[in-house]
Amino acid sequence: MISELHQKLINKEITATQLVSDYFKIIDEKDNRIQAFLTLDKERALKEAEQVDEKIAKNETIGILEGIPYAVKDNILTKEIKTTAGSKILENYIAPYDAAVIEKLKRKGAIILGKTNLDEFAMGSSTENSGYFTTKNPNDLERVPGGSSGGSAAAVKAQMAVFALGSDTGGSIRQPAAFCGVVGFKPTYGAVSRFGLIAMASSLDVIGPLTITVEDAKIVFEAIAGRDKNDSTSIEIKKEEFKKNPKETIIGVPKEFFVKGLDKEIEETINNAIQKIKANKFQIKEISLPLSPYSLACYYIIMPAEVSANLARYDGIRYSPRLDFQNQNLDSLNLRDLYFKTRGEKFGREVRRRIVLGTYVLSRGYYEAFYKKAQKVRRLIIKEWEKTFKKVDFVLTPTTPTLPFLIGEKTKDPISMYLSDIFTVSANIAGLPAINLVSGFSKNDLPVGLQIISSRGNDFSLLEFSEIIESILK
Amino acid sequence: MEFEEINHLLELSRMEIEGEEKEKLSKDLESILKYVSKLNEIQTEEVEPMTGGSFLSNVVREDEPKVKKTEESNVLKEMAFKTKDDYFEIPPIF
Repeated sequence: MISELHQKLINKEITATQLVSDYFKIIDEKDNRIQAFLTLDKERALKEAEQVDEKIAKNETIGILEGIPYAVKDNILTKEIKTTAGSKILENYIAPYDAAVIEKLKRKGAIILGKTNLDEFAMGSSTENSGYFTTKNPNDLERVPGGSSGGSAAAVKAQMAVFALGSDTGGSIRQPAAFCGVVGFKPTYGAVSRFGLIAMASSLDVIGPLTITVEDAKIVFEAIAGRDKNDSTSIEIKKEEFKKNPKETIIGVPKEFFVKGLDKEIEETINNAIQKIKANKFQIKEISLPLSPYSLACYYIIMPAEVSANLARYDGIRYSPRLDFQNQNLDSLNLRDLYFKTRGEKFGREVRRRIVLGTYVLSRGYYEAFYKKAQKVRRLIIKEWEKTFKKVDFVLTPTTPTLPFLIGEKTKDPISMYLSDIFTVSANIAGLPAINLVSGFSKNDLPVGLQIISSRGNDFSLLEFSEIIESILK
Repeated sequence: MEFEEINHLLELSRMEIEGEEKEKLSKDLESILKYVSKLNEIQTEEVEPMTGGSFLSNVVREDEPKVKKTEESNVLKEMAFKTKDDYFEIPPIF
């Protein structure tokens, strides 16, 4: 899709200004129902588009992303548009700088349309934990779009943006991509700079693209990937091509992902996909990942521990919080009240739950039993995946255990919501690149997501392989 | 989970939560802790715990003070609910 639009821009079949206006027109028509966007910035977008048009008019060469309109998950800092992370505690926050990914895309001429909705601080699987509103699934407005990058997935699906950025800590790009029926790519941990991403769980967080096609995901990933001096966990990913022919390519299908609790229609759709892939001469091999059922438990110790530390910075003083203290004489308060009241009132339920849980697993007497135990299991899970990738090239699984659920269906019981990430979370625990592809649709036309996982640093080869699978499944 | 324990955790987390929600929180925590306790089924003796998401070694730099650009620090200052000279004004500590 990006390549086609790029061609149209160079051939002067369409102007960047027209393209941006068209997208705002679709947003005007659709977003009052879908509610994918938290903030729109039309004026700046059009101004940027004019600059691209001037270049084209002068017959200057333009890059592949120049003039392409996109959407940004609202936990990624933009200095021209406010960044809320879906939280009331950041209701008025305007970042003093752009995130590394935003700066890169800006330099390449891509144009931000607006910021998309998410579960507060990216904690959730449905956008129902947003401090503002719930985004609706464009396939069925009664259903959730998935989360936490639900706004980004819905915006791309409803053609309200050419592509969108999301972040993935336990499945937050792939699960909403599966629920909305788009491509969602979670790169290797560290492949994309996290500088300017509002931290949730720093050893798991990754930024990645949500797109209509795998080719688009590749274009965006290439633009945002790379080592950044401002993120010491960032690494350079080698641009390795996928060269193997099908007969030499072994795709592992782990039996632990096809158990009770997996929706029958999803199972059927994935099995059909596997048959089609087999018919194209790829080798399919049943494998076992005995530790994968423990990934989610491991995640629900490590993630809240990191959350409790990362969210300590929201103290009621920095980041423009607006508790009703503004007109009060500050001397009538004390600092302690300010902390307790701000954090108690402005954080939502799920965020508070995770902060308290994280505080618990890190506290004296429980640290060894929970936190350290989880860090040991994490190492074993990583080893299990390393061993697996000595035997197979890729691992194929369903992305989610269920089809998109109804709004309100899982809000009462946190564990039932957490289980939405059961198939995606392993890739975060082990730092692996993983992608969601659309593998088909249910009887009620709800999309079914297929996940392909590869080894650390194998991002480009995974994307190229996924392009082949995408064309097979079409 | 005992009420006392929840209160202690809220104290450490610097959050004020009202009665009814505290009960729900306590129940939720119990069920989550029960769920994550299934890690005890895994033998982890002599396993070195992970400490982060990557296998990179530390990147160090000189610890030199840096001055923010005035435009950046102005944006930050605008976000304070009160300022005095170049400082944030906050309620008294005690």
